[in-house]
Amino acid sequence: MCYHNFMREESLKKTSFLAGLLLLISFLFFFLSSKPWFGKFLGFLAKPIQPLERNLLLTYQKSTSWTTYFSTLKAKDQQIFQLQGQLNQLALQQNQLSSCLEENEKIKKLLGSPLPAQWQFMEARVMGMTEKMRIDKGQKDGVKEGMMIVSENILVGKVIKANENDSLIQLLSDANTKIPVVVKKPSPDKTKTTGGVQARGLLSGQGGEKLLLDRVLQSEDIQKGDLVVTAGEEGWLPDLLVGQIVDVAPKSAEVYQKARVSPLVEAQNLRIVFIILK
Amino acid sequence: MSLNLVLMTILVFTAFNSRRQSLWVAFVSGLLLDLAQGTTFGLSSLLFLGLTFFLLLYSKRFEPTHLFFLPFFVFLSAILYSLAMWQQIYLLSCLVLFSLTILVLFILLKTKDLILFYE
Repeated sequence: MCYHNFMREESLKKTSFLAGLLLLISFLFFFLSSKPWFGKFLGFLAKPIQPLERNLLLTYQKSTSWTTYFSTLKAKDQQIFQLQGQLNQLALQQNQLSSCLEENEKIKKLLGSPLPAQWQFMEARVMGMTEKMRIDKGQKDGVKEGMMIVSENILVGKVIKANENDSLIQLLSDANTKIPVVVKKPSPDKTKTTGGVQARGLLSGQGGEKLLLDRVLQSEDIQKGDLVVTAGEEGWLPDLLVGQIVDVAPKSAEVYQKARVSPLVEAQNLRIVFIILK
Repeated sequence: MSLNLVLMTILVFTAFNSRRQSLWVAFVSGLLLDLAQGTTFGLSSLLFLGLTFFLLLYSKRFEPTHLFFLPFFVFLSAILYSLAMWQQIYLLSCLVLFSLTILVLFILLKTKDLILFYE
């Protein structure tokens, strides 16, 4: 019995020693991760993982697009029949196109969008998506924390962590996202806004694809279909489209009114985005 | 919303294999997860090691594979992990992990009984 207890205590000591040692090594890695030279080493280690992540994301996007096709089949027969005809034509064209052509299309739209000419952009590919988006550009490409990410002239998110070879993006729908915005009337093609500022408010993420527009004074007029655009305050660049109001909460006795906003771009389906460098 | 299956696997592995090698599994898995996610290197392994060590200590006195203990421990660990990584806590994903742990535990315990029976 005494021998058994002795052996158990010895085993516990060895386990505690090993746990302590591994915890110490993890702490060391944790503190070293903020050093630039260690970041380069991590970038070298993470490089083989990037192509695998990208392919996994592409496979996931393709599989979700197939489930959407079958789930809408009953409800939209005619629309699907028309889309099938268009898809067949597009499939013939797409066979002749390479991934460089897709990049060119994105760059053309970005150049044609109403953004300041002095802004500089860098293209990045989406590698992974959980609560945060991961792109294949990092510190060595000039990416820094706080830079905005757009698709055409629509805001996608902000860089919150720039590693050596990749970066993490906080999306609009993230619960930590709070953006000062203005509300404007849309143009007919919904890619631009017309007129002046209708209202000012604060846009916050609610998780999933939901956005909430809050802190809009009751005296200000906001309606379903109005466009929400960044105000250019608190570190966010101005005049970037964010979303469209889908539902305004009924007026109440509170000081502020609220509205639900739908993002103009589905972050889950993005493959190419642009980083605003300056 | 994502399921932390790595955390669940490590804790179930530790519960069934209460030895020091579980610490190595937790350490290496944490480092690999940080590399894959792009989060701060070493943070996941710190959390996994802490949880694994606690489970090992618990297993010295009590039965870690009990149906009333391990799923709750995995559930609480998933919440703790989300808090430590500054992620939004999705209670639904933690509950799914809780249910998955019960299922995996049930299958493993039945398989263990069958193997012992045939031996």
